[in-house]
Amino acid sequence: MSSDTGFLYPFLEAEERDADRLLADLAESARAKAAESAALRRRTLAECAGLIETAAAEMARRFAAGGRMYVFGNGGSATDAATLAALFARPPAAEGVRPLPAWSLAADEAVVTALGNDVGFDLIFSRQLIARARDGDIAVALSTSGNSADLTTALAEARRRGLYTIGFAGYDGGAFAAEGTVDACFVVRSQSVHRIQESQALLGHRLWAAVQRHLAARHNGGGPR
Amino acid sequence: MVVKGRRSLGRRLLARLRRQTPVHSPLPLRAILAAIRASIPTSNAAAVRATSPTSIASGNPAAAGDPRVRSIMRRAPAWGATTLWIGHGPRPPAGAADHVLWVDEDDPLTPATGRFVLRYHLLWELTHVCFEHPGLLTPDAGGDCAGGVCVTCSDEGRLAEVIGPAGDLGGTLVRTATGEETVDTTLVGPVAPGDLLLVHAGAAITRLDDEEATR
Repeated sequence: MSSDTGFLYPFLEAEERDADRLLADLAESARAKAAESAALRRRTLAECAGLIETAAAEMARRFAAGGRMYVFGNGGSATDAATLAALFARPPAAEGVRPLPAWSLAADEAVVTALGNDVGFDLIFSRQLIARARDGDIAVALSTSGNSADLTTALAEARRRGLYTIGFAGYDGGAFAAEGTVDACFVVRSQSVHRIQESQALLGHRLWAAVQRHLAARHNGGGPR
Repeated sequence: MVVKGRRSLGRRLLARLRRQTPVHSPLPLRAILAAIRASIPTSNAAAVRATSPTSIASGNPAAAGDPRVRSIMRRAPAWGATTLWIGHGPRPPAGAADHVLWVDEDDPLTPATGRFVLRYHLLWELTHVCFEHPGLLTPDAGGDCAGGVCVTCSDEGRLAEVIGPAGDLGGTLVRTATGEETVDTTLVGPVAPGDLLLVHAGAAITRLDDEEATR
């Protein structure tokens, strides 16, 4: 550690020289975290199985009627939002899999910085929904806390406009679970940001797969497109 | 010829962390490390040029066959960057990056599952654990320059990227991990900007093509 970083860890042993012990600890830690991640993913999928089906049925109904999906989050969750939007819009080629209209609202740096600078950071997503969204559309917010003001503001705006609102949160669900503006709230019961996001990625993947299944069933059954 | 020393991932990362400088710390006791992002569709060698020495580049999530990522990984040593390639599906060829963190699944949906995200989360978490061991992050704790041949400090087969002719005095201006320098390219013949050369004692001794760079 350089002197630049020493102030961060003033209580630590500066004379440590045995790297092997640390490397063994790191390997053990990685194994433990991976096991914890896998267990949480299994538990989360089991808890959310019913909600995935409910949400996917409503999303499929809206997509079939021309609905579009907007996904948004902050920081690492913005990355996860972009991944989820890309999965819906540009799925891997496979028989019966259809691309669906989905966008990440953090993708355009000009729009995000303009809104952040001109009207305030808390409005960077809600203002885009006001401009682009119609009733019949779908809004998906990704968060670990479930409390970010820009996300809760956007979800409230989406609800007012008749969008189907979906929230991904961690911990106890935060405001996503408490404020009543989220139609389908997926809560990953963990205190670790990393483990929460890993389970959220899998939930998003299962949600996408369920939407595809519901759309295929509508098509095969001759239902409304 | 040995271009890169071989060492376990953990030791290499420790060696690199010694030189990382945190920029800013919004969380208590968490060093914030300088990081830049370059999208794959727009990235090229410019992404590597934007990195400062001792940075870590990662293709994330990048398919092993992507020639743009391979190009970045193979010329990164000339810019002083350690390369860390995170991906899934078929693995890159041996030596394509200093470190490879790979999910051996050919399912195109892998990036959308937690298994892939877990890889770079663990990297972040364990990196910060290393900062809790300052004694192991000091220059004399056994790193690049400890024991045997030091490929960074010695003049043995360093990778260089051609910038252009050096000027009136002849020679070729190249970029290496330690900056710009003039080398003699008589042995390898005409060179063009962007070419990768192996430099020894002030002379380019061979030219690296794709196959050599990833062997």
